[in-house]
Amino acid sequence: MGSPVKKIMLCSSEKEIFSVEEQVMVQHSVIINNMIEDGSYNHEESKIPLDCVDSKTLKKVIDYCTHHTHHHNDNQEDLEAWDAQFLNVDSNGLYDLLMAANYLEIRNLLDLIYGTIKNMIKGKKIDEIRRIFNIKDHGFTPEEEEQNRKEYPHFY
Amino acid sequence: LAMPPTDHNDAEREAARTRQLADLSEEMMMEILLRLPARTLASLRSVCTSWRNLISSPPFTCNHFRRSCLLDPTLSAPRIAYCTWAYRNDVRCGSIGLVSVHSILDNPSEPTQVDCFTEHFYYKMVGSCNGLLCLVDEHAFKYMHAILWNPCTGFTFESPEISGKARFRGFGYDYLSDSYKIYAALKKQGPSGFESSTRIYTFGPTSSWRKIDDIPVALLGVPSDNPSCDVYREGEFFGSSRLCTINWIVNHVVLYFDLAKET
Repeated sequence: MGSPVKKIMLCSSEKEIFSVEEQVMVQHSVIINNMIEDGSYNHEESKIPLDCVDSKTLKKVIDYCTHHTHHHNDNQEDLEAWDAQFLNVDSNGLYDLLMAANYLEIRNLLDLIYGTIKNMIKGKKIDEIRRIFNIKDHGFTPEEEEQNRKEYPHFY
Repeated sequence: LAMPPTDHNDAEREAARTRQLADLSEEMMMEILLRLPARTLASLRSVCTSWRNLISSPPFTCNHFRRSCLLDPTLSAPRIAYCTWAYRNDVRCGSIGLVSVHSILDNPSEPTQVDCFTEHFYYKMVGSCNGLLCLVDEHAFKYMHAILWNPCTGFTFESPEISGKARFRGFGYDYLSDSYKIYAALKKQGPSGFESSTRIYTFGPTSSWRKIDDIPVALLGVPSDNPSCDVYREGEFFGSSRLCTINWIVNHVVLYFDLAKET
């Protein structure tokens, strides 16, 4: 006699409303879990305003939470492949997702994104890293830069 | 790829957004960098000054060490540190070597990898904590300063110089304030003969050697007013404990110094 799946409303920065299974968000987002637990979310009236998350990003975040709720029994390889595909976005998309995951406190998504950015750094030369992170002014004096060059020649 | 003119606003927005990865907060940058191995971090210090400061900060180092030990237990495997001499450019230098005990026991035939720290001065080891070594340099026996050395990244942090010769030292980690501290009883030539004082230094960018007045210097075996007495029984530092104390044995008595309360 299953009761209807409880839904909650999330509102993006463009004021677009997304209706999501409550359980999906509660399981992943510490913030939403707290809101439901302390009763500050009213199922009849409330929408959770996410002013710093745009619709495109919010949709992806919901996709992530939904997939990981319904497929958490999948084997590790499949989940990793899904995650890799999920994070196949440009660096701006990655940044937006990171901000959203940070705001909603979705720890496994944060972990995944941090790991991805880490891999963007690993094994790269200094100029590539400075380009990725758009570092125009590294702040070193010419002498320090020279010293760095001497110390880590393979890095330049 | 040519942009249609109508996309002008989009292009502008894109340009504004490409700055974003540079705008990551320090905590986020730390989360990312913490996931990288120490040797990569060493070279990443030359990306820019803010990365260098972040990677070099004691909280980061400590955090990274804890994390690395969880992921790779061999990092916390015992290692031996020793003092030696080395020649560099024909100048005799003090040197500290570091070898992994496991690499000697498991592969005795293979040359062991030794991390070395060589400078122009003679360094003495004070102690180690969380994979960091604390050294003191007693330059010409008149001044001294302490150095915190991370053998994995090669990073060092030097304290300001203080006049005097340290007769008695201890090094430890204060879990309460998340900082490394070195304690030293100093002896220096003053206008009215030798003067002794006890000082504590907290490793950090703005810190200085703080004088501690209420320590019974005589208890530590430091001759307070006898300038001719240079050889005496020195207390032996035997390490720091989890309880934020550094401990010595002096004349069969255990003395301890509370790092958190600095008493």
